[in-house]
Amino acid sequence: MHMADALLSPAVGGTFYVLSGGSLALSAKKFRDQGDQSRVPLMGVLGAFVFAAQMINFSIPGTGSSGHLGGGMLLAMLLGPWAGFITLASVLVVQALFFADGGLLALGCNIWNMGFYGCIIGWLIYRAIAGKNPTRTRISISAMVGPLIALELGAFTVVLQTLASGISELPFDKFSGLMLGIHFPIAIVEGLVTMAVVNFVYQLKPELVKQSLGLSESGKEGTAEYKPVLIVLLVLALLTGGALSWFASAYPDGLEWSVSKTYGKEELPGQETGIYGFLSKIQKKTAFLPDYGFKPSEPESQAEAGSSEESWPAISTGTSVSGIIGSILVLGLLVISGIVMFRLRGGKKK
Amino acid sequence: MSILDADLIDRHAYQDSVIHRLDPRAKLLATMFFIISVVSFPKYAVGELFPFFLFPMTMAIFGFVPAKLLFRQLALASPFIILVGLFNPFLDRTPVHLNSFTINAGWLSFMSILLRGALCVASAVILIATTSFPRLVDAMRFFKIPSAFAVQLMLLYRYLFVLLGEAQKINHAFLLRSGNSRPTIAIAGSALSSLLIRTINRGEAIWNAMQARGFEGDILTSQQMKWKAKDSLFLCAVLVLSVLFRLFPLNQLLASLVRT
Amino acid sequence: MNLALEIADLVYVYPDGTKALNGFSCQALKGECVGIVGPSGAGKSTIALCMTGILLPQSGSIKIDGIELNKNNLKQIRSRIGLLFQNPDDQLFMPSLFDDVAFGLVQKKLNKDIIREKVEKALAQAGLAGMAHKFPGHLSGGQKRLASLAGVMVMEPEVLILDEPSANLDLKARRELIDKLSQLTNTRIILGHDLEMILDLAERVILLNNGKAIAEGEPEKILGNHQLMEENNLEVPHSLMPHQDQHHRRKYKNRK
Repeated sequence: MHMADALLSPAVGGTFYVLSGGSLALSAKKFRDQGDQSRVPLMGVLGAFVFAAQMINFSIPGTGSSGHLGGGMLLAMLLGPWAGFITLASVLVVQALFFADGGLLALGCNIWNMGFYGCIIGWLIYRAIAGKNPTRTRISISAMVGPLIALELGAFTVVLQTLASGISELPFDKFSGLMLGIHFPIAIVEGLVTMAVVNFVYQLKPELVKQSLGLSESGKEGTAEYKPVLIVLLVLALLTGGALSWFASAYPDGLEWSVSKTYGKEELPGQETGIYGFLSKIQKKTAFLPDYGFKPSEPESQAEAGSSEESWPAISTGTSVSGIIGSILVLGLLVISGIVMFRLRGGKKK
Repeated sequence: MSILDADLIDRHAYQDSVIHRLDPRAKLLATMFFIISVVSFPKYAVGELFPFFLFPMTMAIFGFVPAKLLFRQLALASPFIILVGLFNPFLDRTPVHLNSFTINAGWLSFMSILLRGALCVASAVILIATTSFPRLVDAMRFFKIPSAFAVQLMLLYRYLFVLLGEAQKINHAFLLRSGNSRPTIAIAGSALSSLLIRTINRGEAIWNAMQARGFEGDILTSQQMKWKAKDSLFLCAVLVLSVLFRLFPLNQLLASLVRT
Repeated sequence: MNLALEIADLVYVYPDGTKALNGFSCQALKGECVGIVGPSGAGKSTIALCMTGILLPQSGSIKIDGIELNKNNLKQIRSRIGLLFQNPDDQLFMPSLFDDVAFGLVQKKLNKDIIREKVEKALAQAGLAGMAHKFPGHLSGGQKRLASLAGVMVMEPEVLILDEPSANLDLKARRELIDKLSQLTNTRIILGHDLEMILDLAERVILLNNGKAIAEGEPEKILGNHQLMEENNLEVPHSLMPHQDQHHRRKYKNRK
């Protein structure tokens, strides 16, 4: 499942952009280093193929619902980890732009969730199972096992990312249960379809399926080269996710908690870093607008203030009646500007 | 529907308007900054988000982006967001008092999620509807994405609709021979397999074409981005307004004006 | 050297064992237009790929403009030979027409202004002036064909190979293409099934089957030879069989 901008915070989005960006840069370098440019057009058309495959919905027996191929494991098995990752990342970019699937800020998260687990971890699994002896059976097993692990890891990471962002209220245990549960049958189906397709390719073009296994002269060399880097990345990913989720679940205002520990006060002068803080300091000094953040709307709610402090941040000022009136006025302004703009624009140019 | 919409968006991107003529780097930066501003709000922000609709609205109107297309894309993106957000009112029951009645704070955060969703999806759709994909890739190249990735994006885009067309033909062929049901996994697997082989062969043919024209290893496009004053103006406007709307909630401003 | 192309005893076997070319020979003078016809699987596309060095033959020789093709001088060879692929979508892989036509020139690292000049000229000659920034996916079949031709012609090749150039074109686009091809002065080798087009353009025809040249000569003589065509799973083109034409039609219409 794709992570959406609406559920994301800039910090989490930014973190995963860094992780994904780093992985992408690494993959590009590794791909360039191995020197074989002939796969470039194949990567392009296989990326397009993933879209085509996602359009072909099949019915899942017994459930009555439909599913489609995700493609990460398939790409890994046909292209190897680096080219596969690059290809899947490109698919996600196009999905976010043309198909409103996943957001632009969430792109970093999605590339990580589906690209890193799907292609890189997926390929490692493929290699582990079939690396030394790519028989049809081993290839099939890889095709089944890979998506299972990759999709569950991805689903779990979505939970962590959502939790760390603090926009959704879903509790860790129930949400992860749900996500992991839903993705299990999805992974089974993905595995079956991947297996069918890869086996077919293996019959007609076995060298393609085997080629992605041997990235260097000797298999052993390759393993030694990539494993440490990937293990480190995986550990980092789990640590980051784990740490963030611990904050989020133990302390709903976990980030605030960490802020108070770091700065020794309850809140930073602003919710976000640097420039926001500076500007809202100015805002407070001018005292023109009410303090944006901790104003309870009515005296009665003070009694509940104890529990409301648990939720971060406290209810916004927009919930007071004047706030609502103000919002309606804003809407009115928007409509008026819209009409004005329509008039200004005139007819359609060619 | 979504293939058709993707095609519509793509074709629209090659139209001409004042928005289309803006530098793609400016539009990309503006959109990203906008999205970050929107999602940086705390979870209960509702009215504070309203002013942000000015950005997608202005871009859509002056970019001639068809409203129906925009709403269809919004509808497409909604299900997951709604599903996750809908739990909020039931999980977060912190009472919020509004003069006479009380609602759960969760409703506020749910509405906030919906508004964020609308703003972020709209800005992404408008970006790609007013900037052709190749130009967007040029902008990304400028911001130093790996060139292997830029090439990949370019080739993927080039063959995207070709492959989608083939998928449609497969779907139609099955539909006509099966009445109105969906294929089973086995059949889908076999159709996909044959499409995959054809795709792999196509990849080989493209490689041959590249070689035949003396491919030396790099694929460069003719970058023609020229930053103009209007681009600076546009970007500044978006940045400044985003920061202002983020820090000084317009609804409060107007409310206090009304009160006095 | 008056010979633009010299192929001698070409043998090519695909990795899966298929012997596509079994001692194929042919020659072409500079500026000549030669048609190579034959049933499907006869080896036509293989010849095209061998001539550009994409496939390296097991034995035999290929000389382009006097230079013998081997795996070390591919760059040189490819600057003298242009190949128009059967499916223009395979060939138009860049995101804009300009970039696609410019591709070969960019690979040669020519000066930007020179590239611009050549590309615009090539597009104009192909009748696609002003479409430099169009996305190839948005073009019609005929336009794509002409665009891929422009991309090849801009390299000013000595020899031009056309693999089924009229495939999938509507009649108007096909006629436009034939017109354009007739105006070219490069040595042209046309491979395909469109016998009428070959009759329109070729000065000489080679009949290919089972990887070998079966017959060679004037187009009307070869293609009008009923027995020869039948033996090789081909049909005499309509324009060469006035009275037989009625016979075929009558046969079909009388089936009711």
